[in-house]
Amino acid sequence: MSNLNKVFTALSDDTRRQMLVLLRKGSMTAGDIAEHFDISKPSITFHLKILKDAELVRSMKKGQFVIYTLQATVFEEAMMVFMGMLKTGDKKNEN
Amino acid sequence: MKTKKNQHVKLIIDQKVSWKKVIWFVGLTYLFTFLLCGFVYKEGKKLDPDLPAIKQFTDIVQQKPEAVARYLDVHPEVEISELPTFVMGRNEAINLSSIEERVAVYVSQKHLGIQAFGIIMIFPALIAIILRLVFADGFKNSGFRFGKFKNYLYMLSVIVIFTGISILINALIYGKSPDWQLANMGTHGLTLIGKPASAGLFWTFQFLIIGLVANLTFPIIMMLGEEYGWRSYLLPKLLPLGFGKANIIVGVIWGIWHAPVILMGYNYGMYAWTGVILFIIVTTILGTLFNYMYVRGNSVILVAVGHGWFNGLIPSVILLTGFMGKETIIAPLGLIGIAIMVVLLFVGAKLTNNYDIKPFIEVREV
Repeated sequence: MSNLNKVFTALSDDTRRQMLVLLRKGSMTAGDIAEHFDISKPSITFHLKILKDAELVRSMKKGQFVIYTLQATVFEEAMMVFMGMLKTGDKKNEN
Repeated sequence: MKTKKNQHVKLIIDQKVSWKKVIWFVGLTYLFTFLLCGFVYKEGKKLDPDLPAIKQFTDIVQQKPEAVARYLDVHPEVEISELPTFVMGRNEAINLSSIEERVAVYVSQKHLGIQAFGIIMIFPALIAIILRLVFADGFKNSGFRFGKFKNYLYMLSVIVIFTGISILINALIYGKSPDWQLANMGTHGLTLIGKPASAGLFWTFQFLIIGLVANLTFPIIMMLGEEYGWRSYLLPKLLPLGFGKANIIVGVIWGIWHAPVILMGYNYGMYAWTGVILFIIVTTILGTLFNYMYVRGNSVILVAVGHGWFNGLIPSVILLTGFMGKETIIAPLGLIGIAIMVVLLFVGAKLTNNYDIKPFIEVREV
């Protein structure tokens, strides 16, 4: 899959968009991110992996923690807002 | 001048330079400064063995993600779980939500010693006071007066003009308009005391309150700490050489004195040695303004206030147009800044009859 495709896929989910909004305020550990969502740990990890594959976030291992940092470009952030307004693929991509 | 009562108190200078006093003053000021900077340097090595301490400390405290990531990288012994999760506000605990905030608070507490470099600003005054006592010169001729209000207006105009031109030229050369919303710094909406503010209101506040007023409160003690040494003690000792020579010597001495902090990343980030050279040029040119105004007003308070205004307004240039990593090129302190200062220096020469100080001094008969 090309990178642009990965970015589109990653941004097509509301949870992942919320994660990016959260990371705008600064880096967080996976555990801290999980506290903001009402979903299981494994699905948190799954969402973070998709964001990482799309290079929208980067991760750093520190002891037993993994720290996630936003690295979206301005264009990608604009795209995120845009796709959020359209509510793109909120149901479709959950297969 | 026939009206004696309106005559302003002139600065009294000796007929000859007392090199003994000059060498004692410069030697002791440098010694104290370099010793303290040695301590800061050692503290800095603990923060990061390979990066200039003051820059790295500032970057972490400003929560720059790269600096924070690097800190966690070079300090494997720092556990995420031991980072603070809140700080005490006035009434309640304030939660720290991101890793950057938590590391910033942690580092600012653990490596507090690095901030001690600010103390060097009081050494010139301290040594000047000691030497005035030791050599029994007294404190009479040390410019401790407000002086004429007009001189403050001159001082302010030069600094405001320099700030304005710097913003303009930086923006022109880089083809971008000033970043009034601070979007490049990752700011999402400007705030004043926690409340959202428009760019106009924010910058009025920044220029008027932070730039012009805030530095006249507590920081004025630090400015006096410098000026009571460089201007009030050193300059008059060298003035028997003439204003031109004295001005250059004071400027170079003032510039070299900054070397240790610039080598640790102050003002010029990673460009340590280039920064040292550039800053000697800056202090020599900028020193002309302060030196001339000191003699003209015979007031150390005037130059301390000017120094405060300069330090208060200049950050606006960096906030608005400061392209990080280009410190040596852009205004205010890079080559472009120096070019602007040189132009203002020549304009100043026209307005002051080539920095003629004769009307403002009196040579002491021996």
